[in-house]
Amino acid sequence: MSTTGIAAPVRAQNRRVLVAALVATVVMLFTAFAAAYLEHQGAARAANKWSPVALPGVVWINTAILAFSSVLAEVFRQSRRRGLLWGAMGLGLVFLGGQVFAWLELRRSGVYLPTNSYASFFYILTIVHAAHIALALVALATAARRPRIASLCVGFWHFLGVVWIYVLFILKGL
Amino acid sequence: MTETVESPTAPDPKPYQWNNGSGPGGGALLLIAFFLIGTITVIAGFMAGWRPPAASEEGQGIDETITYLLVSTGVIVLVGHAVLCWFLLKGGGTSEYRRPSAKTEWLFGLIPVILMLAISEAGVLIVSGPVWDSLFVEKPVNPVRVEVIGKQFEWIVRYPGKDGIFGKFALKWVHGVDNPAGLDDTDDNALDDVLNGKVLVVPVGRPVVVSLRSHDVIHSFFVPDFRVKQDLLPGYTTEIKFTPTRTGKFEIACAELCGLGHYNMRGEVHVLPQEEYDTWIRSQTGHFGG
Amino acid sequence: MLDHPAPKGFLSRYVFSLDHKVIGIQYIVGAIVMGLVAAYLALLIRTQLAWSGAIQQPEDYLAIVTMHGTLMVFFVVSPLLSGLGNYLIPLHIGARDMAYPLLNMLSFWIYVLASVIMLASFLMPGGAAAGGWTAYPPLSGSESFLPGSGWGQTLWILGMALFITSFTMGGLNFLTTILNMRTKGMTLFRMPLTVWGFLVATVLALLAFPPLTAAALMLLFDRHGGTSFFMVDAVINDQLIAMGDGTPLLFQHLFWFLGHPEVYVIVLPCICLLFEVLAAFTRRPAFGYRPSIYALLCVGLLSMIVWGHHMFVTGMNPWVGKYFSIATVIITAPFAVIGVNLVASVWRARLRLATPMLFALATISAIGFGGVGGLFLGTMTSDIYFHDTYFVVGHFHLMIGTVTMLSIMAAIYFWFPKMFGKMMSEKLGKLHFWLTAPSMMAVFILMHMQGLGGMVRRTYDTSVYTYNEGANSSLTTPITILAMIAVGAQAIFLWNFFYSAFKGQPSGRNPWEASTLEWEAPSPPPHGNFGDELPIVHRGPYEYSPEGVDQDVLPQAAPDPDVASTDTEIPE
Ligand code: HEM
Ligand SMILES: [Cu+2]
Ligand SMILES: [Cu+2]
Repeated sequence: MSTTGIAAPVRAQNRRVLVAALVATVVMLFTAFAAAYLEHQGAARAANKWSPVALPGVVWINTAILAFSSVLAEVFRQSRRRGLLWGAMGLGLVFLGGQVFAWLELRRSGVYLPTNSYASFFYILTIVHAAHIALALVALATAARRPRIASLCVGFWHFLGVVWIYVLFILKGL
Repeated sequence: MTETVESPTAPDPKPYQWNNGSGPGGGALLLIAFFLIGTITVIAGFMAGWRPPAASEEGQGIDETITYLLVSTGVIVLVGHAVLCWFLLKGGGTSEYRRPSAKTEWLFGLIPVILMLAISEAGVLIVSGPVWDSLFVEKPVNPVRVEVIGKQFEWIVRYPGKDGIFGKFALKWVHGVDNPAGLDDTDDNALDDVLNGKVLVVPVGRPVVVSLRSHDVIHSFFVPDFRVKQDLLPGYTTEIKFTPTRTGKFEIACAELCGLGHYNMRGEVHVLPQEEYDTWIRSQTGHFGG
Repeated sequence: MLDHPAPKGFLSRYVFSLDHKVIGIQYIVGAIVMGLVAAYLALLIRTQLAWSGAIQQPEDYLAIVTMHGTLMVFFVVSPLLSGLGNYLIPLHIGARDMAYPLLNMLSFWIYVLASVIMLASFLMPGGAAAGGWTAYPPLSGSESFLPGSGWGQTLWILGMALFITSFTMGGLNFLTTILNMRTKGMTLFRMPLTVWGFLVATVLALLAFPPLTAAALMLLFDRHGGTSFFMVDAVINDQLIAMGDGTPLLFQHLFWFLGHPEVYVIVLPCICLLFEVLAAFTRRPAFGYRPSIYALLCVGLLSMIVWGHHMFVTGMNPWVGKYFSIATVIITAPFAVIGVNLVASVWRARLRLATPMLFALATISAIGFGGVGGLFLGTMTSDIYFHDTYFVVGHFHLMIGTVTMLSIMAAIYFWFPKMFGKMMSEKLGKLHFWLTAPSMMAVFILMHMQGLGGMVRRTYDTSVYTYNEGANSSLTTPITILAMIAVGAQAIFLWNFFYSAFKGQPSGRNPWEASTLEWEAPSPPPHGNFGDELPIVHRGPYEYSPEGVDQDVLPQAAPDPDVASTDTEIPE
């Protein structure tokens, strides 16, 4: 029996379908949260109980960091210079640290998970997003050694950046 | 398990031979069995014993929908089974076979689409629409208004009292038998509100609007004889309407799982003639004596 | 030819195998084990209802009902389909394995872990979860409402989260495999309908499970983080318990956004595989191959936008209710197309009434009854009456209990020779059939009658209500006895399954003279499925009794005979 394995083009195609399906599930997940948020906001506004808390300023710095990380990752994708990838991942870690800082900051100002539904949504959305970022960092780390999956990993990283903007949009814009 | 020495081209060691022992007879037996189950079901579905006769106008409307569906879908099920039986009995015999053209196949797809859309949407829009509207959309004329509160595991009925206005309430005021409904004893409207254990007393022939609220979890207010059912959501107020058509005592069941005593959350509706109802309601004093 | 070499040791061959066939059988056996537990629970339910002795307390009863429902839907029927899909998809489409064998193995072992956690919840203080398989908060949110809503419910959420993870991993695999790993000539419109069923079901599952994950996470936060997504202040024993002001209905929306498609996730593959069995035993092509596929796609699409039909009595806006009703009953149209095609597939048949065929025919009957029952529940006003009665219990058991079980039985009897290279006993198979199918149908059809009588579900003791006296309660004991027959008959199946796996008559490569690719492989197929060369597909899946060819069947992989067949288009 020959041992050529699954042909390379099929493999590439597999990865694309896999990532597309993952993206679809993540989209559904955050759509569900957004729907929940809207429903809650409507009910709470009707009862005059809606009280958004001010997001800690570090959140905006985090946003910038994540955006910059995406830029580095994109340049890596095109130039394949590994140092850039480490940079992007480092910034990803800094983002996570920044998120932890944001949570602590909120805590310090007396806003806890159960404080009100806005706070609950802030925490649950950021926690779920952070969990995805953490997993994506693992994926990026493997991308360094396996150039074939690099593009997809970087693409997924961009996608999580977009999800972060979406999260901010839910929390500030809706 | 998946190991094998066979190579795909080697002949089967001892090929299994299809033995055509049971002819179409077995198939007929089979389908006749299911056909019988079907017929019995459909007939049984009509038997009056299953449902207590509807005792509200809305219930009669709902019964019409049920009857409509029993008839239309009963026919579908019976015809479907009959056709299947016939196909099985008849068989086809020869291996000479002209396959249906794509056109035939699409046509056979179109027929059920049209048929089912007609039957089902007629059921929703024509048969059931007006009843739904009368339940939830149209304003009831001269209704009796009562409130039913659900808690683990009993019902509390509240009437607005002589002033015809329900007083304020809040969960924080709920206190044992002193104040089971959580009424505000500083609110004038609340002082004359009448509470009445587990029995909902209503007059016959007039629409009754029941507002529903819960003290703990989700319950569901269900009167089988009236065919109406409505959930009680904690933190919200929901409403259901019915117009009793005959006097008597009917049961209230809780239809949504609400805890260990769910099965035992029984209440009653007493439907009285208007005059008797009037005397009864006049004889009631407010919970706070107002 | 494969990434992973043929396994050598016992562990890597049978336990931590990467081979889709072994994983498929593992799933099936795992599901059979969980099925025994869940069926035992079903009998406990029925005994309590028929002879309400003092053995069960209400807390036991509710935990049993909840766990029976949860286990049956997520830990028996779903993994049975994961197993069948795993086994069949690569063989059906001419692939050597799944696209991601490691993911596949992980998915199975996570399922095992989830099952263990679910079972362990019986041992928790307060017992297993008891708030129903739907786990509606607030009831499921706090121990103070129900003892089972303590640790039992937490483990339930954990088990469900793991199950979702496992099922999603499996789904990713199914999707990539079906889309990319098809052999030469296997165009989408030459795929067997079974594969189509799995494809649509997988897409639905991938889209519908995330909202349930969100709901489970929020419920977990409500229970252990003090949030109030779904919880509302309550008074218990005169104590005001501050739980916030959440929206309980939100959970129901999220749950049913999954819950309704989930029903199709498990029903669609079951219905689709019937076409395959029917074709082989009628020696006729499945009727309406393409219309069925389009109907399937319609059902899938519609199933995502009708979840509100579970919430007609929650006090939703009446116009929204109307919309959900109108949309729901539209589904009967594509379903009827599939039903008509199933029946028409038997038209002018050259019947071979082997056990798989008997099960397939009975399933058609069950689809008929189950399908029309749905109309009573999708029409908004009749649902006001039927909601949460035994009519609902009867209906969903017909669809996701009877249709699935009978059809999976058809599948197991049909593909068993491929899995083990042995035949199952026909005699025992027929006995199993005659004891199972009529009794199961009768059990659940009779439950509809109790629902017509207004009998409320999830009730520990139905005799509390006087309206249950007479017609309603006269059925309870007969149902229980029939259920015992239905469950008891599975002993015959188990014996037949395990005995035949070792001692059955050798089946050869293609005992049913069927046309699809899996029958080209030896039975059981070796590691890598198809020898050196993958089969090449020349035509659609069901070329039985081909026109103008003097042959009973033209297998998908057979080269064109002298006379052109009807379907000679070049693969796209
Ligand atoms: C012969 C076999 C079975 C019998 C006798 C049986 C019996 C029952 C009964 C009597 C109930 C209702 C209990 C109540 O509401 O108080 C129930 C609930 C349920 N069953 Fe089955 N069942 C069987 C098989 C299945 C199968 C195969 C499934 C697969 C999907 C299933 C899924 C469920 C679900 C989801 C519930 C709802 C649980 C709840 O209310 O939370 N059952 N079963
Ligand atoms: Cu209840
Ligand atoms: Cu549904």
